[in-house]
Amino acid sequence: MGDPAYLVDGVLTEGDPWVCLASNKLGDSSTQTVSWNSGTGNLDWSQYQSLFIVWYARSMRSGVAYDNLYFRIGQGSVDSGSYRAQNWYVGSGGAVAYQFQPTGLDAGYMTTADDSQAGSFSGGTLEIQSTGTGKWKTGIYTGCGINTDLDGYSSLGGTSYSGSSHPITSIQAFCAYSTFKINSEFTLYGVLPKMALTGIL
Amino acid sequence: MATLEAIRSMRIEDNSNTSFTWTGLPTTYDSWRLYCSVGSNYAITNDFDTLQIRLGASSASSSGIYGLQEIRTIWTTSSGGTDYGQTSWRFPYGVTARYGYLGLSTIITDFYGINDTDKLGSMNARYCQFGLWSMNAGVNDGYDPSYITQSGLYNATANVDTLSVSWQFGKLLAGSEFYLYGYNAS
Repeated sequence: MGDPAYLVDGVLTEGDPWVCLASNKLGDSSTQTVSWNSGTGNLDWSQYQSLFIVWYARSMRSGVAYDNLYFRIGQGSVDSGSYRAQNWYVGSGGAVAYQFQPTGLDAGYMTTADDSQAGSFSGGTLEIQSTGTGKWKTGIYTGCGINTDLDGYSSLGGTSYSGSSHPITSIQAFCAYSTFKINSEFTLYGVLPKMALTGIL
Repeated sequence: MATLEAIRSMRIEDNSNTSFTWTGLPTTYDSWRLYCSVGSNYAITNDFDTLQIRLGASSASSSGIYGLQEIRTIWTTSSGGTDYGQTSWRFPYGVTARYGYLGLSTIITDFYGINDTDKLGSMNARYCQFGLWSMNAGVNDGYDPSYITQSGLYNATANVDTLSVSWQFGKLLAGSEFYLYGYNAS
């Protein structure tokens, strides 16, 4: 974990445990990727224990009732062998378990153009743990939305990345099969450890 | 505005400790969040170990005051189960040393009402992890996460100022980290 910018001479200077690192609201429907990068000062991701993403999005995919929302770590080429996902999908047909190899950390499903309600978006959260450590990264997420014409669903699951043990310095949100619809929103928070009392065994 | 305030942290530097216990925890918080990034040094021939969390010392003999209800999804299977009358809350699919020091389980537990003596304590937990389960040996390559969510009950009403963490079989793997937060609703 990096030297925390919010600690100055042993005094906490950051009042909030969650720090907003980036926020994007898309202005058109042609965006496939939203990219975030670690910065300096309070925007240095290495000082946070976890990264927390809140999203509200819809896919432009047509002909299929869902699209996948993934968060790729790094800016490199597509790596489909290092990501894993395990989730529950709960819809009108009941609960179903899935495991698969996404091309990024899995964050659940998005409503698509198949839904006749143009203003219907999906929403969810993804918390990525141990982002500044040398461990493989894990994430836990929840999400919900509309599949087709008010047939709702919820999803929850775990996802992992074993492609690198380096701290995360870059993340790309992307639509697996299409582009994001205008007004889709993505916000990235850093969760401070803010520990005062420590123990070592 | 609700915030999370840090109470304690613990980092494990070698594989010699079966458990640890925090005592003298402040009772001013009604709710806690325990964040665990944890592995077990249980022999790598074992697929998993069970993490035990107690609101008391790890050796506490108080029986039958912990219960939980669980749903899990592992590989293509999903199931539910109940585990009541236990001496600890139990997280049954903690990752072992099979994956070295990189692939650890992440377990996040929220405890509610633990210091309100008018109520029984309760918790919910969710976790994902790297792991391999023998049911799919030869297909699953060992890097797949599971996702498990639980809710539980602690059938006692005394104020809680002690919390312990232990594995059922192995010892706490080096590199494991634990953070305890208190919810402050001010």
